[in-house]
Amino acid sequence: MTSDEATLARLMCAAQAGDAMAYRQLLGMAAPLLMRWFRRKVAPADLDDLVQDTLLAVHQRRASWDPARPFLPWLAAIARYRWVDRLRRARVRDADALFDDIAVESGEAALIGRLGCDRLLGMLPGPQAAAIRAVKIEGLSVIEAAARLGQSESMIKVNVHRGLKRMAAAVDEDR
Amino acid sequence: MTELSPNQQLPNPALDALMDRLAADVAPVQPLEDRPTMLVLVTLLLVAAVLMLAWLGLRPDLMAGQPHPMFLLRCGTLAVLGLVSVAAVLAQAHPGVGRSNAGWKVAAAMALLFPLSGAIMALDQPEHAMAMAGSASGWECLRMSLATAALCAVPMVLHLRRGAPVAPHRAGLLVGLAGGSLGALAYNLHCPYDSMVYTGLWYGLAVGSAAVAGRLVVPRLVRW
Repeated sequence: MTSDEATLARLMCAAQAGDAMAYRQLLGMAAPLLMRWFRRKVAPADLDDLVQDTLLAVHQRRASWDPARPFLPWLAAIARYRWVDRLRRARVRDADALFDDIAVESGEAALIGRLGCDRLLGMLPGPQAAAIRAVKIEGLSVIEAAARLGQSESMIKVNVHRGLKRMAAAVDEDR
Repeated sequence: MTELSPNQQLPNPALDALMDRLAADVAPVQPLEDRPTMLVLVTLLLVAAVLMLAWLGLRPDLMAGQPHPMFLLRCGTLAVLGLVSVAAVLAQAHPGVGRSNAGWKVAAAMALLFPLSGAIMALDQPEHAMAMAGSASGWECLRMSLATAALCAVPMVLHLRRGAPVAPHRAGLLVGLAGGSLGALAYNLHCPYDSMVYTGLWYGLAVGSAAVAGRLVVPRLVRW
């Protein structure tokens, strides 16, 4: 079964009615989608945690999905919210441990591009997006990020702070 | 480097176990509906307006059946701002990337014409402006509007807590804006003043301070 909008919406309708099999199927389809949305948006060590966190949020907030509206934009909003929250809490990591499992993009690239996290980062001014990628996603230290991006250390901190704040305010926007 | 085909996933026992557990725990849920919240909100607003009128009385021009144009302008502006903001609050409970709810910004920009016009007229008539700023009725306007705003905020906050607001600060601002507009709308039925300076100052203060309070207080109540 393909994870298209109509199928996912039908399964979510059944899940809201308490159909455990349909719900398991839905989660089984949503998990790989989330994996692909989040890949390279958090450190690989955090990927599973973030996907699990998002599935829990889907479970807890499933009543907030309106069956009259599409499912994927709802899922994307929940996913972005958890992702931005995760970035805010992320600590600086060892850059050497990152991205050793880069995967091939799927045929759903267009969908991922429209709903995924890149688009949210793309709403930020270049220096803010670059600082967040370097410090919060790739795990560079502030000093390393400053050297790579040609920004001062204080500017890196300011750009990360302002960028995350702006992303949190624009979680459901799609420009 | 590991490469995955589009539909291939590495085995992930922890994730599978979580999904099994969530599916086993799934219970029927009623999709969150906006209408009950809207009904409660309208009822609370009507009760507040009736109590306020029973206590303070109706505007003289309304009693005479000849409403002043300023009353009608305030009514229209506050009603539109309140309705659009309430709709935006309710929509915040059902998130979705790409869902545009920017109508409240237009309504808020239009409502700003009152304080702007009031400020311009205050420059031209400083004595009148001082009298309006010192008016005891102004503080009553602020108190009554904010009390009604707090009452109206309750069903909106409860609605957001049942939903999944992904922009809590915006949701808080909207709750304050909606509550403040509706509170000022209710007080407007009593308010005997028709001055643009008075309206711009005290109504602007009531709606503005409710919006600021909502922006500061509500996010911590609806964050999840």
